[in-house]
Amino acid sequence: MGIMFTRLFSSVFGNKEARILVLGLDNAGKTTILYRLQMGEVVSTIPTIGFNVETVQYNNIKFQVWDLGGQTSIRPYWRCYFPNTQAIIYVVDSSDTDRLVIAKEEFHAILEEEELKGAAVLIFANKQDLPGALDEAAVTEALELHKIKNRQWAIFKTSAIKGEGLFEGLDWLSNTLKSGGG
Amino acid sequence: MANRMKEDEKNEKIIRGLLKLPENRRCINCSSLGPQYVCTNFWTFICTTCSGVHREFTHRVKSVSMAKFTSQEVIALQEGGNERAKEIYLKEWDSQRYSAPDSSNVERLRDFIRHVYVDRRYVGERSIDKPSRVKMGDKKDSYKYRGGSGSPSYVDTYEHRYGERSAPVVADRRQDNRSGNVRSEDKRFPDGEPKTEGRPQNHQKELGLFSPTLVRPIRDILGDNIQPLRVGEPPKQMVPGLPMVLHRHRGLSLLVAWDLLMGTQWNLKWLIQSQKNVSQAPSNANTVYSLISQLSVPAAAPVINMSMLADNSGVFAARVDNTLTPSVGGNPAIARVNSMPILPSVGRSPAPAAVLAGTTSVLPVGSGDTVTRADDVGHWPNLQHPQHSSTVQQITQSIGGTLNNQGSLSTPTLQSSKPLPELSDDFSSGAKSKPTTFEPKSSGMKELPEDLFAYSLAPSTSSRVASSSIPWHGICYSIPEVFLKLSKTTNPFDLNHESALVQASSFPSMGSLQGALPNMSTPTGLLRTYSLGTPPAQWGPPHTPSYTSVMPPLPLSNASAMRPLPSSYSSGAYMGQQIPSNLPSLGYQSVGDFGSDGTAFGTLNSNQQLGGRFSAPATPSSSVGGNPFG
Repeated sequence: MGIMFTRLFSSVFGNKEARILVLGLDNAGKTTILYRLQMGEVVSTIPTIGFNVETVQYNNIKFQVWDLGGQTSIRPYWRCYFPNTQAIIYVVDSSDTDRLVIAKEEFHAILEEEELKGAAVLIFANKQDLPGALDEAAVTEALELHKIKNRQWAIFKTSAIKGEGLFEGLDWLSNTLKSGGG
Repeated sequence: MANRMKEDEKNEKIIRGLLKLPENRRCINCSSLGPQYVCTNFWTFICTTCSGVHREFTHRVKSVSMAKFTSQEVIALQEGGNERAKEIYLKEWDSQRYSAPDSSNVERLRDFIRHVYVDRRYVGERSIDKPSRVKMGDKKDSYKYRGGSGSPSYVDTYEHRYGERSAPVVADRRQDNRSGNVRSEDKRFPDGEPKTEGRPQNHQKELGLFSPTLVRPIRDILGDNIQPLRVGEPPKQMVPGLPMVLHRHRGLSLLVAWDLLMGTQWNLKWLIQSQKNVSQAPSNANTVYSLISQLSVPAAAPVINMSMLADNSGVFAARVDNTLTPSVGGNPAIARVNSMPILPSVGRSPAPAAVLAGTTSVLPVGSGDTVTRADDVGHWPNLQHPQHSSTVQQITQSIGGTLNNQGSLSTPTLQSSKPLPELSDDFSSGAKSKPTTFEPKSSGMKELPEDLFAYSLAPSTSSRVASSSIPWHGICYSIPEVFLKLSKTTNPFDLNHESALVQASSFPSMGSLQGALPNMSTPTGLLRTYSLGTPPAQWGPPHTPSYTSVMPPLPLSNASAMRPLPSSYSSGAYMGQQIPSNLPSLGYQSVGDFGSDGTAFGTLNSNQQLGGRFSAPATPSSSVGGNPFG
């Protein structure tokens, strides 16, 4: 009975859970973003091998955020985490212009995934604090975001170090998730 | 596709082969066995911890097993590797003198990496911006703008990355330091005194960190046969306005110092003569420091102690670097003089001043004429002016100051040790034995500096105070320390006694100093915390549970294919990196020394306590300054 009531309550008041994957090339700042969101702090990170997962409560949504290691050899394992994912946060190192092409390829490969068909996509043009970082328009261009079809997406300029843009992105995400699927 | 697979395999094989080279078997930075990452900016093999630190500086790292390498990268790695990188980035790194950081101390590691790769402190020829050794074509170049050559962007990023954080994690101490520093800055330079920016501070910090750990027992340096010579007459010529303090207790301590000075006169002269020999300059900065460290540091652990010291001092001392360094560097003589262990501050002061002033003739002062000495004192300001901008805190820790000097002077480290080659041998034994013996006398030590302080300072202050309130501060601090050591070795008991007596009289002069330097109290507080027992606590910042709480079961059955053991990673790796409790015995040992062994910080503490004591009556400096002679 109590459980029933709780469920009812949360469904009425929009207390949802969402499973989010944070993806991107290695050294894009995924882990830093995760902990910035979760703790509000910049932590020292080492290259993620495997994953980190944290729960972030924001705008009445409980985001279960999975941050997966981005190095070449472990990218294939991302797919293991795709099922039941409501949204992807794709993190791009905006200053790493060399690898934007690779970032683009990986990104579009993700979009192809059947299991992620319904997932909203939030792109973080990260590392805006670094000199030479491309702005969101340039990143949009580089990632060829205009090719995205049948999907809700948005791109935000972020700096995980400075904490800029992250929660704006989450705002968008929570609105999208609330208005979108159930 | 198959081709590519093959190539990947081949590349990995090559890299695995490279990993077996003796130099590549260990992390280039911390010597951890079995590096698993490659820093593609420098083509070095590094461990996991170091890879994280490198990333903080926006260096690119790749996992040997988790990433794929292009043939181009493999070639670059073949041409590079740890051995090659050491030739370039650690060219002037003297492993005898400095000890490499170990992976458990991320803070130190970070400083080390910053020094070596961002500041390129040990590269050697400074003029060469980029070593031409690595040919990685376009890719390399593209990375370069972010950091290879210590471009500002790096530091900036780094700065705000860590400056901003309120981190419970590693950054704690740093932050404290920094904020402390900022605070004091504001107080100290209300009048718009030249401020250096965050970068130099950082720089300074680094300097402090890696100053040589060579420790020399003072006895070795002075020799056993040094006889106390009496200086018959007090200084006849006083700088006008010299406080009475001078006369009152130019007692034993002065005598001792003087004696030493005289005893080693020839040394001084020799020094002066050889002042042109730039290469030897670096050594001198060492001495004070080494003396200090010698007291406190068991031979095994000097590094850590230093790092702690440096950490504290680094921030505080940050300012000195810019200003002081140039002058010191320009004048080998100064450094040289310092290097003469025997020459206490007294000896030191004349020489540098004279040199700076461009009048070498003054140097002979060392010959024992007190009169000249007074003059020298007058010269001090010249020397000190550069330090002007230095924060008081920094000065408070003369150790820090010396460290910094040292760091900046670092050029030919090896050579610097030449003058006293045999010392290093004795060092370990001497160092070990000393701390214990000296410990009990810590109280005496504390007193001493005051006395000296008052004495030596008085002239300079009185003569030049108007122009600079801060500068002499540095002087006075460095002096007491030297004296400390000297006094100990020669006739500690007398000194203690003397100092106790003198204390009262010295008080006033200190007060005046205090008045001049309002913020004395702040730094001391900060320093204290660090130098005393607290380090362990600080080193072990609150471990946020979030790290460990991370791993829920894998979502899917085949998720287990992720070999990297998520759980162990998130808890273990993070903890390892950020929680000092993992510190090996070495680390702890040194920490212990730090806190408990009064001697180590005897010098430092004494200074601090002086500050604390004087400031205690009334925190606002102005009030203290009100009755400088009261």
